Amino acid sequence: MSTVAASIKYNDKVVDFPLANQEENAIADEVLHENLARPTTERTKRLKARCRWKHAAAGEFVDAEVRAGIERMRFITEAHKASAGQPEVIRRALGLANILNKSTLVLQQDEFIIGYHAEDPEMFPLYPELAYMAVQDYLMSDYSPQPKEEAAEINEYWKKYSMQAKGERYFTQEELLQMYQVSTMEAPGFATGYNSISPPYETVLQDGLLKRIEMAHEKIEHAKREMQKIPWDATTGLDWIAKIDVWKAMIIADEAVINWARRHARLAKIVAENFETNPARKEELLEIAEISHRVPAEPCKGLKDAFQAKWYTYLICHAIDRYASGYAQKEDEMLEPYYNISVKEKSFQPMTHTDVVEMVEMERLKISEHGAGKSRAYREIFPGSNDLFILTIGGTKPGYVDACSDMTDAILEGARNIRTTEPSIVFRWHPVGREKTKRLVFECIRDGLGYPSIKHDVIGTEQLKYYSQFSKNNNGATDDEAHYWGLVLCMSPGVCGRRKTHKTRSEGGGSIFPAKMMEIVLADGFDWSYSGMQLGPHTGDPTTFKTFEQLWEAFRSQYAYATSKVIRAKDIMRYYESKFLQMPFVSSIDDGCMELGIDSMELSEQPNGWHNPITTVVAANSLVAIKKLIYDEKKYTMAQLVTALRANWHGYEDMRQDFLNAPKWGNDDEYADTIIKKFYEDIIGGEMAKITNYSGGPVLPVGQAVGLYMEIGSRTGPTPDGRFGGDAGDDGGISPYMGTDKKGPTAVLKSVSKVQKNQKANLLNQRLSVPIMRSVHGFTIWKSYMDAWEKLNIDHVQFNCVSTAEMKAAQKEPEKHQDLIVRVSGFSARFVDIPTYGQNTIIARNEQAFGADDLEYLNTQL
Amino acid sequence: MSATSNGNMMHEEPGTKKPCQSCKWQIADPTNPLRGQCTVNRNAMGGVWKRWVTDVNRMTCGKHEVGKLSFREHV
Repeated sequence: MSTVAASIKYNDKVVDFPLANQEENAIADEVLHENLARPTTERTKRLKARCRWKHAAAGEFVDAEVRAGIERMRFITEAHKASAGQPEVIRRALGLANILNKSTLVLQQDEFIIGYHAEDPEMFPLYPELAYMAVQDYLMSDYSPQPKEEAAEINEYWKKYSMQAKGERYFTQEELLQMYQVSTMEAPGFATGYNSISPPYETVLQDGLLKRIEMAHEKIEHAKREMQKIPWDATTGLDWIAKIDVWKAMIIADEAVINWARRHARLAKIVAENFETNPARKEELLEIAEISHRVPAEPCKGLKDAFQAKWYTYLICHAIDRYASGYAQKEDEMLEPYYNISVKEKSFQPMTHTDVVEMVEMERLKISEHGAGKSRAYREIFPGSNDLFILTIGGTKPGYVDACSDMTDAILEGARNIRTTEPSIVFRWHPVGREKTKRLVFECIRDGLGYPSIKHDVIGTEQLKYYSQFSKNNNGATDDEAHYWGLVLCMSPGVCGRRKTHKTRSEGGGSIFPAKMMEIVLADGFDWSYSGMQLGPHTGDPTTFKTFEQLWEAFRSQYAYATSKVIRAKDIMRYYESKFLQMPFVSSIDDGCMELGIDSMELSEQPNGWHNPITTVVAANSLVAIKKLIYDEKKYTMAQLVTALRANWHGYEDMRQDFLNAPKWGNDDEYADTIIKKFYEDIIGGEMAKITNYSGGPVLPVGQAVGLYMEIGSRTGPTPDGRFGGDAGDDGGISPYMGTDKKGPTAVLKSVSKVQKNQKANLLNQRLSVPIMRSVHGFTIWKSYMDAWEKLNIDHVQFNCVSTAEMKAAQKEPEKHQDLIVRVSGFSARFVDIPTYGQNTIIARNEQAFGADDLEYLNTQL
Repeated sequence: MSATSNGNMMHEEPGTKKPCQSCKWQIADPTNPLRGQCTVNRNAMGGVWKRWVTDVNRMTCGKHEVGKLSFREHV
C-alpha cells in the first residue's frame, strides 16, 4: 500500500491528502518508480532496454563492457604529424578532418537520430592533446584503449605538445601538487581535459554549413583585396594573415563535417537497399539518408532535420573535436520554429505532437548512451550518471513575454515518459510562464526525476546584462539577447544563439572548497588529514587568535589564495587554447568569429565569469559554532577545539554535541544567518569579485556541488560544525547541511533569501514529501512554494521526491530498481549506480513536509 | 598522518612486497595516476576518510589487503 500523508488542520478545516491517482493506492512505496516509466512507443521502449549506459561511480564504469576507443587518438595524432609546419589553426582543422574522414561509423537498429563519437557504442574517445595524465590513467585501468602499446606510444608522443605540458610551466611544483590533489581547489583543465561549451547551434540549423563556407570564402577574398591595396600598410595589413588562416581552417572543418554527415547518409542508404528486410525500416533508413545528406550542410527544413543537425553539431563540439561536458542549449525555443513547420503547418516532415515526444525520447536515449572520456576526478564526481548533460527550457522572450511553447511541453512529456537520468533539464521560472507547462514541470519532479531544476528567469537575464558591460569589444549581450539564455552546466547562465556563447571552460566552473580551507585555517594552512603538506599560505596558529575577526581574516587569506590560483590556471589554459587548441568548427558557426576572423578560443564578446565555491555551508556552520562557543560564550578555547579535531572528536563527544547543536544554516536562525550572510557576501563573493579574468570581467560565485560534496568531504578532516573527518560536505552551494534544516521548507527559503548580494547562482537542494507531492493537493502546494521562492528572489532550487523506503529497498535489491532516479546535486543519477555511502547522504537529507504554518506563509489556497 | 614511524601506519618502504598499488583499499589519485588515495578509514555512516598516497609503489601500511575495491564501497 502506498503511504498517504496525514491530514492537517489548515484555515479552520481539516485537509486530507488522497493520492491524485487512486490506482497508486495499490502500489507499495518501495516499488513506486518502477511503475512510472511509460515510453511513448514500442521503439523507444526497445531503445531504452538496450541502451548502453556509461554511468561511472567512484571513478569506475559501472558497466564492465565500457572502454576507451583508439580511433580518435590515432587519427588526430596521424594528422598532427603530417601537418607539421602549417599554421596551428590549420593543423587543428586538419586533425578534425582526419578523424571525420576515417572514423568508423555507427548505425544502430531502431534509431532515427544517428551518429556516434567512437568506433563502437560501448566506447568513448580520448584526448591525448589535452592531458597526458588523464590518458595514462586509462592506460592503467580496465578501460584502456586497444592495442594498449599503440595508445601508450600516442600518449608519449603528445606529452611535449599537450596542454598539460604547456600549462604546467607557469606553476611551481608545490602549486601543482596543491592543485592536482583536488582538496582545496579543482585541478586545472590542462591536467584533466575537462571542458564545457554552449555551441551556437542556431547558425547550423538556420544557415547550414554550405552557407558558412561561402561566408568564409567571401571573408578571405575580402582580406586578400585589403592586403593588395596600394600603398601597403603593414600596421593593418599584417592582421589579415591570422584571419585568413582562421577562415581557411573554418572551411576545412566545415567541409569535413559535411562529408562525415554524408558518409552517414550513404551508410544508411546502403543498409536500406542491401540489408534491411523490414519495409517500414527500409523506408525510414532512406529518410534518414536523405536527412543526413541535407543537414548540416543545408538549412533545416523540418523538425527531423533540426534534431539530426543538432546531434551532429553536438558530437563535434562535445566529443570529437574536443571533449566538453554539458548539453547547453535553449532547446524549446531553438526547435519551436521547426515544431511549427512539422506539427502545426505540416508543410515539411509532417508529424503529430506524440511523434515529437518520441523524438525527444530518442534524443534522450542518445545522450544516455553517450560516453565521455573524462579524467578520473570527473568520473568520481558525477556518480550514477554518464556526465553532466543539461538543457534549458521555459523563461521569457524580450519584454518578459512567456517563452513556453508546445515544444517545451513535448520535451517535458518525453522526459517524464522515458525516465532517463540524462539529459537533465532546467526550467526558467517566471510568473508569466503558462500553468500547463508548469504542471508538466511539476509532474517530472513529482515522479522523482529530480529535474527540471528551477532557475529564476529575471535574475538570470539581469546577470547576463551585468556581465555584458565588461565585454572586451563592447559587444556583450544586448537586452534582447540576454533573454535567450541557458545553463552552461548545472548553474551558470550563458547566452545561447548565433554568437556570444560560452566556448570554453576557462570561464565558469572552477571549483574552490571552503570546507577544506576551514580545516587548514585551523592548522596554519597545513593539511594534516589528507596530504600531509602545506596546502595554503601560513595564516597563523589559530590558538593565538584573540578575536573571531582574526579567524575570519585567516579564512579570507586561504580563500583568496586558492581562488586566484584556480582562475590563473584557467586563464593560462585559455591563452594556450587560443594558440594550440583552436576550434575551427565552433568558430565557423559563431557569427562573431566569422565576422572578425578570430578563433572561438580567443574571441571573448560576452564574459561568463562564474566559478564554483562548494562545501561553503560546512565552513559557514563551523564559523558560527566557533563564534558562539569560543568567542561569545567562551565555553571552549581554540586550543581545546584544535585538540578535539585532531582526535576526530574521539574522547570529546560532549564537546562535539555542543558544536553540532550550535545554530545551523537553513532554519531562519538570526544568529547563524547573520554570520553566514556576511560570509557569503564578504568573502565568498567579495574576494572572487576582486579577480579579473580572461574576459576582463569579475569572477562571481556559482555554487554547484555535484558529487564533489562527497569527494571533498572524504578529503577533509573533522570540522567545527560537529562533522567527523571524511563525512560528506553540504550538497549544494547554499543548501543546508544534510539533516540540519529542522524548521520546515519555508524556514529554508527564508534563510537562503537573506543572501542577496554578489551571489545569485547558488544551488539549493530540497527533498519533498512524496505523499504530499503525489496527493490531489500536490501541484497547488508546490506551485505556491515556487511562487514564494520567486518572490523571495532566490535564484535556484532543485528537488528530490523519492521515499526513504524505496531507496532502502533499492539498496537491498539493486537489480529490481533500475528506474529509480535521484537528484544528487546539479544532476540526476540512477540510484543503484551510486556507491552506498552516496546513497546514504541522499537518504539523510530531511524530507520536507508542509505543515499549516508553511502553507500559511506560502499563502496556499486549498 | 602520512609518513610516520609507526609501521602500521602508511609509510614509505622502498622495495616493499605490499605496496599500496596492490592494496584493495588504494584507489587512483583523481589527477595523477602515479599517486593514489587510501580509503581504509571508514565512518559510522559508511563515509571514507581518505589519505593521499604520494607514491603507490613505495608506500605501504599494516592494513594492506590484496584486492580491488568495489564502487559500492566508495563515496
